[in-house]
This record gives sequence, structure tokens and C-alpha cells, in this order.
Amino acid sequence: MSTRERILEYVTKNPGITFRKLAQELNIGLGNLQYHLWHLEKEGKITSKRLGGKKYFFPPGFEEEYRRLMIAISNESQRKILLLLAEGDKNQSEIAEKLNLTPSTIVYHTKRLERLGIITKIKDGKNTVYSLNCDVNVLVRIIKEYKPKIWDKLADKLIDLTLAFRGEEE
Amino acid sequence: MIDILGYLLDGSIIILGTILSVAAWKAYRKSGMKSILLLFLAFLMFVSKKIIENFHLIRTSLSSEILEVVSTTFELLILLLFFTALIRRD
Repeated sequence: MSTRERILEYVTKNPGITFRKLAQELNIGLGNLQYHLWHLEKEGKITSKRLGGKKYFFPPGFEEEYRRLMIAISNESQRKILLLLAEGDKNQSEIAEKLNLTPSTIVYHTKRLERLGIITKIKDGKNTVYSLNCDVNVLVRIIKEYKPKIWDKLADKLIDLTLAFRGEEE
Repeated sequence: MIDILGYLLDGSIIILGTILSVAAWKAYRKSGMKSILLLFLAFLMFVSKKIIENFHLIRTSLSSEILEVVSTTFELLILLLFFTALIRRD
């Protein structure tokens, strides 16, 4: 199997892998890897997305899926909610208790994640349970690699602060 | 000595205000929340107010009364923006 085929196979099996991780796992030099990835992307065999200073690689046909995921993980509270839901389904009070977020903040972020199609809301009487609606492995891999910039952290804090102040609930 | 301390404090306020303005703008772009846009404008006006207050250093011909009126108007607008940001529903 050629180096390019190995890279393609690895990206197909591990959507959302970063450039550095790919170099480590396949033990390929950075320059060499960059060259093959450039060709694979040009041929439309893989696709990439840059976020938080890192480049993530996906197999083709993953555009809609990764676009939604990348939007979802660009917010700190949403990342925390998603990681919590990766452990299992949770209701609003469980999320609030574990993450120490106000109900208004949770409502806002879960609504956004729902609109993106990353989570689903199941109503069971008065209880509302949230569950993940995406590949857990891909999600955890992307979130683990994601390192937000200082501006993103400040912006996320400001969003949550505004939500907490206004106390807007469903 | 007091003058220099005053300029240093004003400079720090301008820098901090600019940082908060950038963060608020980023937050608005991420969330699309109108109330955060109002916060961004409030922070921006706060920075502008501080610059206006020190405008006499560049344009000595400007009367201090005019600068004071403009500065107070900015203060009122900043408070109004904060108030609207808190009560507004997006």
C-alpha cells in the first residue's frame, strides 16, 4: 500500500483527525504528509476544515456533517454539553448540575445544538431528555484536539454571562 | 506626576475597553445575539469617551465645555445601551 493510500484509508477510518495526529499515528514526515494531503484534497478524496488554529481532515461526503460539528464545538458550553451527552443521555437538570450552568444558558445552547441536528430532545412527560445524534468517536476526537484561542474563550464567557444575567428561559 | 498617572490610567482603560470590544464583537459573530451587539457598542463608546476626554492633548483649541458635554452624552448612551442589552429579548 502506498503512503497516499495509507493516509486516505486512515482519514476514512478516523474522520476529524488533525494534521499532527495523522503524522504521529502514521509516522510520516510533516513535509511528506502535507504533500500527499494536498494531492488527496485536490483530487477530492478528502476534505479539510481549519478551526482554532488546527486543520481537521474528513472523508468526502462528510461536508454537511463536519460543518455542523465544527459550528457546535466552537462554543465552550456546547463542547461541555456534548462531552457530557457522550457519556449518556441526560436531562436539563442533570446537565445544569454537572456543568454548573444556569437553566437559561442550557436552554440556549441545547436549542442551538438541536437546530444543528447534533442532539435530539425527547419529551417524556415533564422530563426532557437530550441525546447525541452524531458519531461519538468523531465528536470526542475533534473536541479533544480543539484548542480555542483566547478571543474565543472571552467571547464564550461573554455569551454565557449575558444569558445568565438576562435569565431568559423557555 | 499626577498627570502622568492619569494618562497611564486612561491608557489602561482604553486598552481594556478595546479588548472587551473585540471579545464582544467575536461573541456577537458567534451567537448572533442582538444584546451582545449592544454590549459591543457600549464598550466601543466607552473607549471613544476616554479618547474624547483626552482630545485636548491633540487639539488644544477645543473648548473643555464642549468636550465635557460630548463625554457626558456618551456616558448616558453607554448606560442606555447596557440597560437595553439586559432587558432585550433576542
